[in-house]
Formats: sequence, structure tokens, C-alpha cells
Amino acid sequence: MTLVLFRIDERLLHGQVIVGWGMRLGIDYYVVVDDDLAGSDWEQDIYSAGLADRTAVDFVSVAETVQRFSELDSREGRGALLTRGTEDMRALGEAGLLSGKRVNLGGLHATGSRRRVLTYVHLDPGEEEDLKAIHAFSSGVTARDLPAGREVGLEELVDVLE
Amino acid sequence: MKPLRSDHFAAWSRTFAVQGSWNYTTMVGTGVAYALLPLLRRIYAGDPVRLRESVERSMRPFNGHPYLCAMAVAALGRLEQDEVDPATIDKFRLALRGPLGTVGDRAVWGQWRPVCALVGIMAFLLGASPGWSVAGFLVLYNVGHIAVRAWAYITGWQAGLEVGRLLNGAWLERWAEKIWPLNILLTGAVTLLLAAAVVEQAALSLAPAALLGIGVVGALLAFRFPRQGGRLATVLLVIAPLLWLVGGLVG
Amino acid sequence: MSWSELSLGPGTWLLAVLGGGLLGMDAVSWPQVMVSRPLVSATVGGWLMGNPVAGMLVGAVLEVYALRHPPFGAAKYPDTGPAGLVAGASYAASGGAAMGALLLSVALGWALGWIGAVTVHVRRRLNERIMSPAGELAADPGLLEQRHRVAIWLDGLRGAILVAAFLVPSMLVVTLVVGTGPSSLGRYAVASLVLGLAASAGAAGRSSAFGVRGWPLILVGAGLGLLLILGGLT
Repeated sequence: MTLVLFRIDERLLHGQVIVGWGMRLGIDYYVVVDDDLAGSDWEQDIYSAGLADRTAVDFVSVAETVQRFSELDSREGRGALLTRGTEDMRALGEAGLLSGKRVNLGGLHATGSRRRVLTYVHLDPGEEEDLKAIHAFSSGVTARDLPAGREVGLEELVDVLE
Repeated sequence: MKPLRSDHFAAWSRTFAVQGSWNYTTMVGTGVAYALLPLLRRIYAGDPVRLRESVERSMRPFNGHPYLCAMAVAALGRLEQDEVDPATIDKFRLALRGPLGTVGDRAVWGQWRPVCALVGIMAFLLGASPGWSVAGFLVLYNVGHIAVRAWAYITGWQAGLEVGRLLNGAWLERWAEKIWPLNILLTGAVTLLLAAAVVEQAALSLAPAALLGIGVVGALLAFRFPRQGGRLATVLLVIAPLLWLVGGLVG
Repeated sequence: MSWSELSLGPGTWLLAVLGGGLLGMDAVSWPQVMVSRPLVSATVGGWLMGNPVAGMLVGAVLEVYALRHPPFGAAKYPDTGPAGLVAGASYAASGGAAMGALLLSVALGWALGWIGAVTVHVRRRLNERIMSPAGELAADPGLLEQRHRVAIWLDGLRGAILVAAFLVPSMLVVTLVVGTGPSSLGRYAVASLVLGLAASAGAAGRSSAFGVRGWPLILVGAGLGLLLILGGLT
């Protein structure tokens, strides 16, 4: 099959993703794109602790993702690709990997520099620009925390910010 | 200073209130700080500056299943005691909130709670008194509840940074994957018994075989399409008293 | 049972309101021992009105409905503590025998559960203010503890207000329906609740299953239930 979910969520592998999206979409493997995490065994141990035994996970850097993308996107089963923030997803878009894919914005929580857009999405101006770029590189960006939740278009997110 | 046994007990018992100030900014973060305070006060006794820094760290956004937050509280306390550098503690917090939510949601909310509730209802429908049925549910459920909180706290304190290795394939996860068939089986059995009790109470001439057939097909369709099935269930729940009232008014 | 026969003393009302506070607190804030489940809260409501069996029947129906709303991640779910108490008490106060009253009690309980969910959302927003500014709370851990406890008490107050506001109106409306006897539409009304239970159970089963392979177990469970009925064990 292929990667069926591209999601930006700073919590990476957590309940909404594994239980909410994973069970609904029947996800068999996860690709977690994060430069720091790709080199940290103890963090990988913790992040993967919530996965069922039969579910595979790869922790890869942005560069490695670009290099191995055709293999990651054509494995047996259905996969989900996760990035912690907008910057890494934008980098994948700039490398041409998001063409024809829809990107899901799932969770960016409050920090000092971010403004609340939805209860689960907070953005700073740089992230807003990243999202516009991702939108251009892909088939579109929408925010939705859970499959049963309301899908919010990028236009609406930007409207809230402006 | 090392926390005393009484500090551990105070921190553990505060985990029962870990979601008390849940909010959209820090989620359970402020609750984690609240539960950690008995440990932090001991660890940083006589050093208010480091106490303030550690409380500030502990209050940052965090989320997880409330029962398994006991693991986060204990592990974070352990890292503070071991003087692990703040950047690593932050990374640890970020990493831990995922699996604590997933494992706890699946095992406790997804399996243990419904199984215990269904056992309680089953007991009632098979003739036990409401008092015994409810007490049975509460005792059964909370034996598991307290055990999970205690295991989580002890594991978190013992493992500290290595908690991921212990969480991977932990008994809770393995157990959740084993108990789910019982959960679905009980859901089917209890729903049928409950529906029969409602029909009996109605004392109206209903066609039980037809109702059973449509009910079974409806349940299976709702299993296949849970979102639509859930909506249909709500509509039917609202329609039921309206039909009754309209019928009564029209005569 | 009619309005004139309905009685609710101030002591019982106060007990119900205090109970609503505890049940409101339990689901999220403290101590999460699940007295807030409708199975328990509706039975407590029925017990307060002298008929725990009636309360528990309402609670069982609400519980099967609530099963399909596990609080995974950011999922929305009904606040069943105060709502269950009100629903169970309303049906019990109406005599605990009329089908119309049962149907209405359950529907009102479900609606109140979702009203409760809105108040939970409002409270979470309020908590943001209570638990800030972060710097001030970090500098004074005693203040952090005090604010956290205030947030818990406010959750209790939220539950108490829900019961105080809805208990009497709900009891009056449900008791009014008791006078409405079965009609030609009565059996369709009962069938509607029964099919609603079936659909709810199916959706709940899916959220419990690890994937979609568990559906035959619903059938096996229903078969087991049928055997228990046919065997005269209910």
C-alpha cells in the first residue's frame, strides 16, 4: 500500500494518533520524521511504547526520509508519516514528497509565541508561512484532531490569524 | 535530600487529583506539578531557587491517562533527584505523554471500565439488587484502578529515564489485547438482556423475533460504521419519548 | 402518580445537589473512582427517591449509550454523573413503572449529559485563568496548590449547579408524562429505544475492538443473552 496519513502533531505517537486515527485507518506502520529522535534510543523506546506489538515504527531524519521515501511509501500495509512541527513537513514538501498528498494538522499546543487558532492548534507567524507553503506543495492542509472531529480548512485557520 | 516514604505516599495520593486543573494550555501539566510537590519540597529542601525552577519545569504542558500520570510524576521526581539536566527532563516529558495516553486509554477506558460496568449491569439484569450490582462494579473496577496507579508510580520511580523499556510490552498493554473479546461479548449479551427487560416493562405487543433480527443487523451495521451508528442511536433515543408523547396526545 | 403526589423534601433535594457535586467532580478532577458512571449515578438518584431499581434501569440504558464515548484523546463525551442522578431520580420519583417516563428520563439524562459536557469545556477555559500566571505559581508552590484545589472545588460546584438547576424541572416533566398511557405509537417508541441500544452497542463494540475483526463476538454475546433469557435465568 502506501502512506495514507501525513500529520503534523508535536506529540507524535500518542493516543489520538494511535487509537483515534490508527485504528480507524488500519495503520500498520508509522514513519516518525525527527532529526533529534532519529539518534536517541531511550526516547525512541518511550515513543514506541504505546504501539501494539504488530505495528512497526521507523524513526528517521528529514534527510533520510528524502533519501528513502519511495521505499517508505510503498511498503506492505498502510502507513502514517508524522512530524513534530510544520518546519519538517515543509522540508518534505520542498523535496517534492507531498505531491498529491493531503496533510493533516493535528496538534500544536500553546507556547509564549503562538496564538490560539483552535483548541488544539496554536501557531506563530513562521508556522503560518510554513502551512501556506505545505498547502502549495501538497493537495491541501486541513486541521482535524480526530477522525470524528470537524475538518478545518487552511483558509479558516489563516482567517483566524489575520 | 531523598524523599521519604511519606513523601512518596503524599505524591501518589495526589495523583488521584492530577486532572483537577486540566486546561487547554498546559493540560494536565499543573496537576503533575501539584502531585510532584511533596517530592520536590524534599529534594530541594533549603534551596528555594532550584525548587522554583523545578516547579516551573513541572508545570509545562503534559498529557496522559490520569492513572498512568502516576508514572510520570514518579519518574520526573526521580530525574529531579538524580539531577538530570533540565533539557533531558523536557525531552523526557515530551516523549512520555504519548504512550501514557495510549496505553492507559486502551487498557483502562477502552477495556477495563466497560468490562466492569457490563458485569455490574449483567448482575442487575440477572437478579442481583442494585446495591450489590453497583458495589460489585465499584469494587471490581477500583481494585484494577488502584493496582494500575500503584504499579505506575513504583515503576516510574524505579526506572526513571528508562521507563520506556518497561512500558514496551508491559502487562497492561498485553492484558488489554487479551480482554477485548470479553468486552465485546459482554456488550452483546448485556444489550440483549437490557432490551428484553425494557420490552418486558413496556408490556406491549411487540414482535420480539422481528425486533431481535432488526436489532442484530443494526448492531452489526453500527459496528461496521460506528460514526453513523452512533448518530442513529442518538436519534432513536430522542425519537422514542416523542413518539410516545405524540401517540398519547393524538390518542 | 401525578404532580400532586410528587414529593421532594428540602433535605433530599440538598442531598441530591451535594451528590451532584461529588459525582461531577469524580469524572475528571477527583478521585476518578467512577461513581460518575451512569450505572452508579442513576442508581443513587433512584435511591434518593426511594426506588434504586428504577434508577438502575435508567442507569443501565445510559451506560450502554455512554460506552461508545470513551474519553480517548480529545474525544467529546457526556458528563454522566449529575445527568445520571437527575435521570434516575426523575424516573424513580414518577413511580418507576411507566414506560413513557422511562423513555423520557433516559432521553433527558442523555441531553443533560451533553449540557454537562459544555460546562466541562467552560470549566477548562476557566482553569486556564485560575492556573496563571505560571511564573507566579512556580514562585509560590503554596499558591499553586491552593489554586489547584480551587479548580477541583469549582468542578464540584459545577456538578451541584447542574443538579440544582435540572432536578426539579426534570422530575416534573417526567411525572407529567406518566399520565400519558400507551397508544398505537407506543410500541414503535419502545422499538426505537431498543434499536437505539443495539446501534449504540455496535458502535461501542467497535471502539473496544482492536480492528474490525471482533464483529462476530457481538453475535455470540447476543446469543448468550438469548440463552440466559430462554433458560429463565433473568
